[in-house]
Amino acid sequence: MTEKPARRRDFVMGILHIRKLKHSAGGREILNIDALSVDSGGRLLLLGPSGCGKTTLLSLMAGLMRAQNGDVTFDSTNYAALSSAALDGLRRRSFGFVFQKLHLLGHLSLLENVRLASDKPDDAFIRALLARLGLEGKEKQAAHVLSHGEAQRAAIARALAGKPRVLFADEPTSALDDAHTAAVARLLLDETARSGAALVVATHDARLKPYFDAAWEMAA
Amino acid sequence: MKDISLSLRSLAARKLASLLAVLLTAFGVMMALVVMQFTAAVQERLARDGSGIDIVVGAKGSPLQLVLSALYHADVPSGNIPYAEAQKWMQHPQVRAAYPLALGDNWRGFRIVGTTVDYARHYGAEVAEGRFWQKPFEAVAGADSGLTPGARFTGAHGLTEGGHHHDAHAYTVVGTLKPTGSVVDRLILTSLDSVLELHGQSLHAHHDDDDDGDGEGDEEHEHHDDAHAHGHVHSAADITAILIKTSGPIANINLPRSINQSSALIAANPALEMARLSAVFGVGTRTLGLISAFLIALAALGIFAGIAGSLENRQADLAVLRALGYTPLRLFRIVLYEGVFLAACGLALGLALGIGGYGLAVGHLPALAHGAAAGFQVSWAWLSAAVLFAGLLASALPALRAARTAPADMLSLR
Repeated sequence: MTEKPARRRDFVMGILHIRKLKHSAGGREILNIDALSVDSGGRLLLLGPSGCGKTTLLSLMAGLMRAQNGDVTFDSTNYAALSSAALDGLRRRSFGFVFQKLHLLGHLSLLENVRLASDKPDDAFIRALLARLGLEGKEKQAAHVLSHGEAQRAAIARALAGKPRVLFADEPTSALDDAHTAAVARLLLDETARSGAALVVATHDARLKPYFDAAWEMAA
Repeated sequence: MKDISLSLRSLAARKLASLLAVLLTAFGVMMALVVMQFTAAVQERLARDGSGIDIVVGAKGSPLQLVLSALYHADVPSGNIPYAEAQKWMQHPQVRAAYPLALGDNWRGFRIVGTTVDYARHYGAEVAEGRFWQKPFEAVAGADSGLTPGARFTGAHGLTEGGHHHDAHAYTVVGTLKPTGSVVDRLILTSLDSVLELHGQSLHAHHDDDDDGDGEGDEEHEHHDDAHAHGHVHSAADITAILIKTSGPIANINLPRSINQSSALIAANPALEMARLSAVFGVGTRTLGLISAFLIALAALGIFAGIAGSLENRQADLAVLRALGYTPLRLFRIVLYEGVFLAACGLALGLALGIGGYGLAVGHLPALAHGAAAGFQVSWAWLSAAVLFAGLLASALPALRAARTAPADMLSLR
């Protein structure tokens, strides 16, 4: 990805932008990005080994962390200008998350976990989503008794249930074999394509590279 | 998912701790409530039984005993007073109303009180069935006695069950009284003559048999035997006490003084005596009240410990909720609801147990059965507010801590 074509595309359909971002941790600069954009409905793979800063970058893009230097803007809104509560609201309305360890709330049912993503869950939409993910009939099961595969799909369902405009996924396939990796990748791509959401995946798993048009490769 | 449902699900995830907190709260509330109701009922009862009676006059002895025996019928009298002497005071200009009482017998624990119809009327007692007495050995039964008009019974000597029966002298119930919520409910009222005659006395120097038939004459005869059997002798009539309503506050002070100084009688001020008694049993009530407060405080501590402990295991959950866009305020509320909900459940259970339990207990306390204040009391609202506030306080600290949870950045959740 070069800077110039990206900027031209922004003008048309860029939705999330990073400008002159610098971030340090432990006195070491881990990120120094002049410009990076995600298109509306686009796909971005942040690829790199452990410690390269890809997870930090993902957290900064998703508004889970504040940038030390530089700007992150979503839909023309600079995170720096938002109060903490406003940033919470932005995440709630516009973003979905798939965490590496899934982090379903164990004492809640699968359906309750999925409905957590939105204050006004669209139940018809969620029913259809769960059916597509093969989770029909599992709605009432407590999250802590789901198999790993079911939990993985439930986590993806939760990330999509609020109809986000960007879905962020952190190492979604790190613990999976090739077949499951392919299945999860397809789910993420198909579901975001269906809803028109952008997809940003941070991973060290090169197996995902073929699924993305381009990857933002980072060095340690 | 509503925030309150999240709170409830989190409580449901640790049922045992939640149940314990609820039970502890409920016991505290129940105890406080029983103490409150009991105190209120006793006070109401004492006030109703004592209302309108300013002075109790009786034989020399303990004024408290006099008040308890003559006004509340809760103790034995200290002795008798000559009726002639009593009458002198009953006609005193500072006396607005006076009710002479002659005690001595009971029927199944219900005291048979020789008095005037005015005594019943003083307590607002209306005839439910039948009529008031017109002749000796006609009796009117209080609501709790279970007697019905036409029933005949004999009195047993003494004021509690199990005394010697005056078998020869049967009373006839000619009327029953409607419940008054006062001591009259537990009494059997009859004329002064009846009681005195039974014990070998007469209000009159010569008992006239003008209005009595032959039957009455027989009773008169029998009663002599009865009196001898008790070792009583004929004497000028003695009664037990007089209840006096005075003409005003000044009489309340002056009249007892004259009675105490110028006669062999004593005059007791019921309000004063009961205030002294309350001061004694008030200690017990206060102790029970303190224990309930302690229980509720302990329950609040239990709620605090339960929630604070659970937060240790919920850090990740809370961080995920923050990532999903839950604001700190929402997390604060979710945790706060938990404490308030536990307190509210404990409160509801405690109120039910307290009201129900008191109702059951009162069933075994006839003195409080009628007119016992089972209705809503303002103090209950204060109790409820205090319990809910305790729950709020107990969960506020953990809630603050929950609110400080940072959103799960992807690194921290690994």
